[in-house]
Amino acid sequence: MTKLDAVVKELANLGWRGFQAVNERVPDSPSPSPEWAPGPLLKTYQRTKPPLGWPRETDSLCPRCVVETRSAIIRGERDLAELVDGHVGEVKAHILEEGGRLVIRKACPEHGTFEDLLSIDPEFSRIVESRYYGRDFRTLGDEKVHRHGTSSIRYGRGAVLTIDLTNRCNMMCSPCFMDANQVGYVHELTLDEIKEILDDSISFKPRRQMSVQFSGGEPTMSPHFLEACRYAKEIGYYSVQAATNGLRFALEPEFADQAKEAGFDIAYFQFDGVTNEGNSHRHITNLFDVKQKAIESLHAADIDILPVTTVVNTVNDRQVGPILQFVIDNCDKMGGVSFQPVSFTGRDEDISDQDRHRQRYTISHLAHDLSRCFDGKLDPHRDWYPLGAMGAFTALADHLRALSGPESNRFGGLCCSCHPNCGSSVLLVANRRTKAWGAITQFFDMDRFIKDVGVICDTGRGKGLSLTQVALAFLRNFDARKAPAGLTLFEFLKLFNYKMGGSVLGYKEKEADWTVLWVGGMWFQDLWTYDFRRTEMCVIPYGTQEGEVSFCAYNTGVGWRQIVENMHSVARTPEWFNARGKHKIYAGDRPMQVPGKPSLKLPILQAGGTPRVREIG
Amino acid sequence: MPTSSSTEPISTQARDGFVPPPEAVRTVGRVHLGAMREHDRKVVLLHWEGGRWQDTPDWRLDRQVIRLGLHLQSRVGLAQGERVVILSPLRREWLLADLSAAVQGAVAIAVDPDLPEPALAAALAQIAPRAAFVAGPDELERLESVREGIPGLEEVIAFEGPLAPERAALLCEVLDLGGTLDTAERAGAFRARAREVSPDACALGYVERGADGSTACRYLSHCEVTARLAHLGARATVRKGDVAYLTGSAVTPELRLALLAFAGDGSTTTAIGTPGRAAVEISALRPHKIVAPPEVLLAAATQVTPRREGKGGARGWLERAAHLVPRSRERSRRQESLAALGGRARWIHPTAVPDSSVRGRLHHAVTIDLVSSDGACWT
Repeated sequence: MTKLDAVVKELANLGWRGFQAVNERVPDSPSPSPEWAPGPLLKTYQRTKPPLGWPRETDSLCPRCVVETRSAIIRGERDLAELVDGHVGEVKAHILEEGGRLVIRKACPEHGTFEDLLSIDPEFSRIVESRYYGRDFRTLGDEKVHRHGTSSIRYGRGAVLTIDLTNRCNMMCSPCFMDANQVGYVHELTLDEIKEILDDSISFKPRRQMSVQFSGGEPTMSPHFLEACRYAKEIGYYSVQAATNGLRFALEPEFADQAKEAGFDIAYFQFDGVTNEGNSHRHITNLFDVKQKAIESLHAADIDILPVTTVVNTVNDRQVGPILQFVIDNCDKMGGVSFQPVSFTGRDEDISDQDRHRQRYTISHLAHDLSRCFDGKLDPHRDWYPLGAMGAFTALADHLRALSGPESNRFGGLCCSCHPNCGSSVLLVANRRTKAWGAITQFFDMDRFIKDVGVICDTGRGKGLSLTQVALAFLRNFDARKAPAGLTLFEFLKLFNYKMGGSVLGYKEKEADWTVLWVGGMWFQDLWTYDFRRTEMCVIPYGTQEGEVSFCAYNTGVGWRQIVENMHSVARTPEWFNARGKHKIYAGDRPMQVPGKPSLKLPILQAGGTPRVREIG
Repeated sequence: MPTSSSTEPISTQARDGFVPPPEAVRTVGRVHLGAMREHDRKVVLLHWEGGRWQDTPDWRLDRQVIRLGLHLQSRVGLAQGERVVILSPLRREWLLADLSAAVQGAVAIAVDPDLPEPALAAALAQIAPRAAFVAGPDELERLESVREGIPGLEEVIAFEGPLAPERAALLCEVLDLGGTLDTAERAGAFRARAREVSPDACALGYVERGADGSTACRYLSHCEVTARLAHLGARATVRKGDVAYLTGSAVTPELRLALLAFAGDGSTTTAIGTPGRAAVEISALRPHKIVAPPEVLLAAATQVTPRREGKGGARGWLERAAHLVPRSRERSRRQESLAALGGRARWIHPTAVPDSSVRGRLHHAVTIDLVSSDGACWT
């Protein structure tokens, strides 16, 4: 660290303290009330939090009662109104610490006791919960969209709106919470239905920016995928992504260009390992080769790629380190990685207790596995923040945009304010050329910066003073001594500004050499870990023909997916194939033929962790 | 007489003045695939609907050609060399119908829907199509009146309804069905099939009426079509961001080739004119290229004449003085005509032999292309 850096840091610290000595004595200014919001922007002391800590009691579900009721509703023996107005399968659950672990335990009078693991490191969980920024607005005017009884979303704008375009898929994977290809019917949205779901999503307050995620089955199998991307952009969403296995992009490179032109931005890309063996549970023997071809097509079309890995203990948990290394080595093409500890739902709802306990993987497992893989460079207690901590940055962006005038106020910023048990992440910086990397929290005091952001938003000064405070907060929390080699303060500021949508520097410019990698752990619930306090503040709802349903209430819980799909199924699968033709399904542990060979040089880690450069094609 | 199963082209002689293009773009399919794969153009077509210009992005045209083509292949059983007729005035669906057949090696034949019934019956009997596109209920009725003479006709697709489903399929429904056929594997196979079409195979056809009212179908091979497209591209130079305006009541060969040329160059956005609105639309769009019947060109060119008398000062006096000199007056009128046509047109092509008044008003001001589709020069 040069002397200049040290002087700047110290001056900024003094400047901040001096400023706050006056600032905190002046009464807080009223918060702006942008058009998109149901009221004035929330101060930190106005944000509520769910019950946290332990031991605590919460509301959960009996895994057996729910399945029985759901089946009866689908057969027509019981009424859907029971789900909306009743408390089907609801039981009290206790979250407590036992034997150095966090567990959830509940008892059903009919079916007995159920228990599952929530964390192998209670201190990790305690720190993550303590870093939660607070809930967002309660929703307003959303009766048409949120009408699912105790499963209804009550808080927050949401960050990702998932729309299942079709339940058809060209793979047969295990695990698959969609149960694609197995349910015997086709559920596929028409273009009009897609447009209606998107229109409804901006019909209430807070009207928010979200990343619209098209999913399925395999969304690229829907004939309306391109038109859906275009329409989402037309009505004002600025980010469109798809949860995709990438096969279409490998098989038809032109499709990637067309998707980009239509408005597709990010491939939320299924990616379970860096070898064909690591992907063998997906039943295509050369799947990793196919994935590389897809990465090449997507990158050539300038589509961002976020690999997504479902982690199953004893199956592919050893791949988490090599996968992260792969992402770092390809940080010029990828924006991070999303690890999703397995959720036993869909096809896996019938899992035995023995298998469930053996395969259970938590975010605490992930934090410790990555720490081990990188020899402690990632610290479970220093580096991991709940996804809801991002709410601090959204609050700042909302505040700054509101001060820029009414034109910038059509939508609230993308806000992740989910329950701290839903997911955690660590932010890395990486150099695209040299591949040098480090955790941001290694050189930036994130805890203190988030507190500073809270002060800036709470005191609510004008634009000039707010930006001055942002600059001071930034400078005083950045320690150049600990930053990766070559990362200067200004480059880090440009990274921060880009992630904030340009609201700090007033323009959005991508930093050339350095990039931020988001390494996330998103742990969706299943019937054994279900917690209603999480579903009511879900930020990744499903947009469906029956309104917006919390992600976990849709895929598990009372099973809104099966109910909605049965209500709106288009045809039985054989009828569909007869009338419309059958699509090819890649399964049966056979290789796939793709046109050409990938030509990227991708550093691959062998299964044992030894790096080698593998030249493909 | 060719039958619908015939693969022999009627006329494959290369015409004087048209040099065959490079091998890589010697079929309609290869031109189309090249334009769709590497291009700087976001929008391929514009049409006026609902009080505003509606666009068709490149990617949508590509997907629709694939879907309609797959539907014709898989559900209608259309094979290479078989015929498809298009009975419709110029409209945005025209290009889609044309390409969906020609790209995969079938022959797309334009038939004027306003032909008298005997001539229409004779033409269709001669062509013997496997499938037919019609603009709407009126054209469908005309086709049905002569349908007895075309026993091989498997499917009729209408661009718009309302129609009883047993009479014809609607294009939007066909595209919907074709959408589920549109998988990566089938799309790849469709493109591969398009690349395999022989340059000597028939691509397009059109019906000529003789002075005695008889009809004859003329065909152009892929090589001939692409040679003409290349020729058009050389005369109407391609620049990124170009806008072309096409209008006409009947789809003449000139109009059709221009439409294919602009779609195939990968850079030009083509606006399909609305009947009766040419002057307004040209004035609004300010196209760089115009293809229209001579009477439409003349009407548009004489739309607006700025009042010279209103200008004051030295400039106004100079203009009034120049107007007294015949040559200056002529040049000034030509410039006014160009201004009335949007002011940006670099290339104007009438779809029929223009009379001297049009030539006079426009010649020398812009490139007015008087070379017809069969190579005849009108100057």
